[in-house]
Amino acid sequence: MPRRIEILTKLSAQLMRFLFSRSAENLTIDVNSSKDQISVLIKSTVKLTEKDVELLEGYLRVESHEEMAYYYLPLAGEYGSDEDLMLISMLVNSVEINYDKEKSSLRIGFVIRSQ
Amino acid sequence: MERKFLRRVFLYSVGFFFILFGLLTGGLWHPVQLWRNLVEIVTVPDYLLTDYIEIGGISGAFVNSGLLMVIFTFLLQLLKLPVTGLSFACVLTVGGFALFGKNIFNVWPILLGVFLYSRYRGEPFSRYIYVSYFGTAIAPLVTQLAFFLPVSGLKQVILSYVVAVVIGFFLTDLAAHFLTAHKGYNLYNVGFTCGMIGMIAAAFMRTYGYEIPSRKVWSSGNNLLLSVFMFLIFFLLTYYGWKLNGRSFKGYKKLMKHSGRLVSDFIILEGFPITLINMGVMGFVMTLYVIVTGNQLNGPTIGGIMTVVGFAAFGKHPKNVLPILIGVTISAVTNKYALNEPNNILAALFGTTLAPIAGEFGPIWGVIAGFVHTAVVNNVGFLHGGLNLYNNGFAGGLVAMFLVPLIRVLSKEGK
Repeated sequence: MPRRIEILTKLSAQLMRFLFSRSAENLTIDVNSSKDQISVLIKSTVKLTEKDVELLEGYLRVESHEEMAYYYLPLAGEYGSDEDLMLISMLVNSVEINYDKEKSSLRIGFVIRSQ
Repeated sequence: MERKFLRRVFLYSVGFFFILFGLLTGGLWHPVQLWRNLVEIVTVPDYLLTDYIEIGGISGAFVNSGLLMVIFTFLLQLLKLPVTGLSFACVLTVGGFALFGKNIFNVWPILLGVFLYSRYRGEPFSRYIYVSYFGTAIAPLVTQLAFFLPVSGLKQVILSYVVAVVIGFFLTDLAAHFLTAHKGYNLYNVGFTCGMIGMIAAAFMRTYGYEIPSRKVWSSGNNLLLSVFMFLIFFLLTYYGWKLNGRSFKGYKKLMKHSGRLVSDFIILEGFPITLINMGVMGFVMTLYVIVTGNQLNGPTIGGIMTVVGFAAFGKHPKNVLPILIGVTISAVTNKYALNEPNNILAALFGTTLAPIAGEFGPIWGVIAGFVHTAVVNNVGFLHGGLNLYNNGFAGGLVAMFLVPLIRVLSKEGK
């Protein structure tokens, strides 16, 4: 499996796990793939505390360390702890997170470029 | 930027401190003797247990260890890699084991093998550098093969190097595969991989009539000098961490909320200052444990302490380490070995590889993991004949593979 598809599936799966374990009501994933990059938009209705949002941002907007991520990537998704999000995020090129607390609406966009 | 520079300075400084200590304890006044000691360290068989302090004196052992740490840190810099918790874990582990098995001669073929693998894959070497660092655990195989192979002289050296390069070549894929076997609950993953490799190598050697002799070179009587040095290092780590953290311990409670399961890079997750504090604290705790239990500070035990300190930037903290220590201690006072025998103290120091079990499933399971680990680690050394320096990483992998499914069945998550 090409590496960028592995990153896409693992990160989407871990985000679903994170959000559904926090009572997400629904979730949609919109994926656009081109030769140069894959862009993903995840929308969810979920009630998150400030701490949850902070945690999510901490895991997704992580300092890049591609070499570490490549070594440990096979572990991501194995029993799925929250730290897995951090590991996969190291291989993502850009991340945007928007949370509307009043509407309980979360939007996460990320881009994975071809190596 | 400044913080990133600081991280590198600290990583270098541990190696330089070791060299300085080695020079001040004799090397500076007797350079010829230091050279002889280093040659002695490089030429003796170095499978478990070979305490370099006994072989080459405090001076030789610490200069060997410091040199390797500085060279390995420089290689990371050369490859433009950021200094993270993983960097501290692998450099300090290499440095710790350079007090009892790794030396400036036997680590290179593994690195070369991994480098050739990266060329073969057409990918940068930096992507595999960490595996190669941890993979030096199999270094004793290089010297042991030299005795086993049916050639002599230079051919012997070259051939043993070639075999080690081949092992290094396949190490990356094996390590990646074995990660999923213990699901990241064994922090010393490459130790588990090298245990498997060592087991196969030892099996071949024995099948063809070569018996790997058992070995226990263990120094004693240096507790005062070595404890002063170790406590000084850990005081400096804690002090600078505290200072950089705005003269407080703020954030330490948050750091201890992480289970420690791979991958928990504390520098990335919680920042450098609080990670330094954790490293210092863990160093104090482990050194005190060695002294209080009546053990010796020597190559293997300081190696164990340094490994814990390195991994205190990459998964270990008091909350997930103490239950393991309690489990090992319960086993140590009830099993047939004395509390201050190498078997028990090494199980305590290196058994903390299972800290993520305590971190994720709670302290009771941590105590059980430590208890089980002590029994297992005392029985798996024979399998690889001491060719894998990370014997506890090998045992820890087996314990995690056995315990984690059982814990999950019995815990809420499994129901």
